[in-house]
Amino acid sequence: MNSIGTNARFQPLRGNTAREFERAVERFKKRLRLAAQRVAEGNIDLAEDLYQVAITHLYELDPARFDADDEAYLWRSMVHRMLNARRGDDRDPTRAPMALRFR
Amino acid sequence: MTRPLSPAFFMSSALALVDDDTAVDAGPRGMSAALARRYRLPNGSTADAVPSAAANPIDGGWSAAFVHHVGYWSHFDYRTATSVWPLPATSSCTELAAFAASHFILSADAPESGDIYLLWSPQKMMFVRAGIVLGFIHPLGYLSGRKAYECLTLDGDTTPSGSLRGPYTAVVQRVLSPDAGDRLIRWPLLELISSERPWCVAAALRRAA
Repeated sequence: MNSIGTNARFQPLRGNTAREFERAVERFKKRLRLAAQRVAEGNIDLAEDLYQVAITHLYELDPARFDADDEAYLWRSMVHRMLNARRGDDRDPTRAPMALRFR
Repeated sequence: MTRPLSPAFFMSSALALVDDDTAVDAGPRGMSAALARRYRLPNGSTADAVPSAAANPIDGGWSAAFVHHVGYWSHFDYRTATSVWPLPATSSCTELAAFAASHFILSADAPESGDIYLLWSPQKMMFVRAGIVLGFIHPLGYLSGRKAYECLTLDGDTTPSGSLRGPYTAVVQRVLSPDAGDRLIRWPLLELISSERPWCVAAALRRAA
């Protein structure tokens, strides 16, 4: 009788696009912090806020829908988001810090 | 009576093609290798693959071809040796979207099990991936106000991190957002809007007669 080989340990391959986001954060982290410091012009707290804004924007962009060719687009998009956030702060000096606004 | 369009057939056939978790390290072997030769032409990742622009267009890789393969064979009728799968045989998501739009089945609603999703790339300004919505759909809200849906999808041409292109077929937790341009193909509706009577109506009329 022919025996049919089966793999009893078969586990379906599971994926999660959150891993792609984590990888993108790892990839951009260092230069994004540098860019945030430049945009914040030395204000450490603001730089941290801007970095968080950029990461939140990256999450919303969903890196899983981009490939390696699109890295420049993601970078540009995050930097523009930081610049816009900075401009927003400049316009309204009485506005609460970024971290307080999302509590 | 022709075979009805069935999301259940579609999803169970797709689930049968999901790769083994252990295959990630081992690389394609056996039946996987045969499928790889047939479908996994992107990336130049397999030795015997011959990348070609026609087989693996930028708007879909082999994800749309995978969806068609699943749809075609899940709706294949051996008595008539034909398939009632209504979507065109294409590996281009743009073509798929155009067909769906012209047949009024391209939706921007919340995903439902059995839908075919089309993932929009804001950079390339085109649909870049097609896949199958399995379920477990949860609505999400972003800080910007944009709405999205986290759901389980069944994707070809991907990796365990849900990358845009890859050599595997996997069940992926993915975020779909109609606000970001993603669209869904409600293909079972094609049966209802076709010129023929839907099978359920025909059967009821036969019973009534």
